[in-house]
Amino acid sequence: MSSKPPLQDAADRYLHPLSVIFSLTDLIKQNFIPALLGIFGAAKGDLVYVGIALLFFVPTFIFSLIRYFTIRYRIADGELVVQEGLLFRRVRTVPVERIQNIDMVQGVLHRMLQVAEVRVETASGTKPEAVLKVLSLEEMARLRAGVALQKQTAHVAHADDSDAGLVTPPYANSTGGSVTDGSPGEILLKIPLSWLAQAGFASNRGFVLIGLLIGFYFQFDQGNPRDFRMRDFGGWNIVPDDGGPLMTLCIVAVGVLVALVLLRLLGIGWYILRFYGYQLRQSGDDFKISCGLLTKVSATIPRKRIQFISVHRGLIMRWMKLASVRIETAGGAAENNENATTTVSRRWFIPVLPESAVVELIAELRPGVDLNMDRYQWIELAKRARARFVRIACMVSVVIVGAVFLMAGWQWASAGLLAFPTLILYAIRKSRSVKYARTDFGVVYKSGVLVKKTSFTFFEKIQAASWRQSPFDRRWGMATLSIDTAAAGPAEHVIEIKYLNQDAAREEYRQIVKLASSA
Amino acid sequence: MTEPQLVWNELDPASVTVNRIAYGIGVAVVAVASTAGGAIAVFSGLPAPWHWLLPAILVAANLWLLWLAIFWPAVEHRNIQWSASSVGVEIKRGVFWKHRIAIPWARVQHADVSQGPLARQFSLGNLTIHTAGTKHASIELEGLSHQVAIELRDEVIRQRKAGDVV
Repeated sequence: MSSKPPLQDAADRYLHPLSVIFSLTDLIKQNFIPALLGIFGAAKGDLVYVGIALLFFVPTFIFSLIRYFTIRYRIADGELVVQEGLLFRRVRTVPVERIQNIDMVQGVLHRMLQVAEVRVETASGTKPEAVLKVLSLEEMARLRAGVALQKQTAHVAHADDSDAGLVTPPYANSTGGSVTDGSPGEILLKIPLSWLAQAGFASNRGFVLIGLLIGFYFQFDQGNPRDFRMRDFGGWNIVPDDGGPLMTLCIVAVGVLVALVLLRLLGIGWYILRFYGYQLRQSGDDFKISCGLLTKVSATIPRKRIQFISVHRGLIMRWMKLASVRIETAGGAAENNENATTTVSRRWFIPVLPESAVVELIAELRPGVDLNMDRYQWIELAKRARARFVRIACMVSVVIVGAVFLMAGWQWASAGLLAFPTLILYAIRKSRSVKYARTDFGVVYKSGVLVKKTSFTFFEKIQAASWRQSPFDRRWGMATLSIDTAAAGPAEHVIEIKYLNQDAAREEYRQIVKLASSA
Repeated sequence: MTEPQLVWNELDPASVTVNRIAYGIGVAVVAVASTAGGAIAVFSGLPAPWHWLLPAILVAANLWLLWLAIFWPAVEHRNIQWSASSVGVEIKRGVFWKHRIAIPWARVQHADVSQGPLARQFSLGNLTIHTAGTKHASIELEGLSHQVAIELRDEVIRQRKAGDVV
């Protein structure tokens, strides 16, 4: 892509002039309500609202203009220097070696204009170290190449004084970082459209949208709920008023079916929009992801930054013999929003792949790991854990039935009795689903009744272990074991194992700390 | 168990006094507030049994809190212990809810010692150990003697070999 040389000890570089347009669109997105007010006001000819909107916009717009014209960056002496500010000047220096990845996000507008939003990430904190909105594609390629070149030279320099006394983490011998950054690398996985459609079908993404619709319906319909009939929907008279109860039942059944189909279609749409053209590539010790139909995302994950690997298999996914893989890398843990890059690289590392390919893929992510799970020594929950789960299920059922009885009378409460067998069955399955194994590389944790999750973490990534016992636990002879890793959370499978036998939990706790300290 | 026996250390006994004072200040604030509230309620004309029952309840509650402020810090002190072994730092605490946490030396990022105004009077200090973890990103040990806190911090820094671990 780049015909120009990599960015190297160059003079200051500025953002692309089109940045101003993107700052303006961002501004409108952030101040959506004042913008709406302004438009409404202008339409009505009421200048007060326009004034209020301008009061919001003009100062922020001027600030962002100043910001975009004062921000500059350069690479010098193995450091990326980003400087911004007019009155209060902030200079941020990021050692190139610490840069985890240079991510790129491209919306439709970005792609039309041949520019991209660039995020430079390190392990620290929750936000990208530097966000450059926006750079031309050519400029981004130069930045990437420049960083790669600097990493390479830094690596050579390190090799010279190798007896610096630093403990070298595994793979350190081969981490030239992204020496080959910029090269496409070897393709590990491509996701065809059919898998995405299947994954979308299995997902519950559509529920979010349905929830929104229901919210809107009740927002605008302030009628008496007792008069609620099917024909109230949008005023369509779809149910004849003199129709019998069978008729109504049919209509309701059809309605539910249509809603379910719609739900699944929305899920499929979301998956295709997000992950169209998904590719996972490996170049050196870096993994690279690129995907997206409208908004294109590309992200790089260095192998040694992977803290946690988690395989999720939902109910429908299991029927179709599919799975998804999530990973956790340090940094960005607290960022919980559905931000494009972080979502893809952490929460959706691999949105869907066949179950049979999972083991092979984990072996690529983490070579030299024994993944023959039949050979692991699984530790299950304490013998009486099932009794304890069932007891809790019974108490919850009693509360549910009681609440229904108080609110709706005994007819409904008898229907609520269904809660008993369901919850008890769930409790039994849950007590059986939890398994834990300590292996020679780290810890493997399995749990989940509907969504089955299997997670791996590694001794050199374990930051702390803890052991907990409540008075109730003490009575049952149980304890909770938990293991903390960096940036835990995005994979939604934090290792916290309740209801273990207390002696087993204590022994595991000791062993984990010992192994982690020597890893 | 083949591993060497851990040596458990207690916190500085002065931390009991400090906690009593701190809790005592809290109880005093509650007492003043409840006296004022009770007085307003009584003088604005409370119905028959309440005009003496409410003050009685308030006095009893405050006395109970006072008793707790005197008695609880000693119980807490008996239930917090720490140990520094070849593996790492381990802390166990909790009266009813027992909790143990261990941080391997190699995972310590840095450690701080801090001192509040009350703690300074009794030359106590708090040690905070930071890791790259999430839930246990920082572990605090309050009520060490200041000297021990500083020694422990230096030990933590000496032991830690954390390179670029994350």
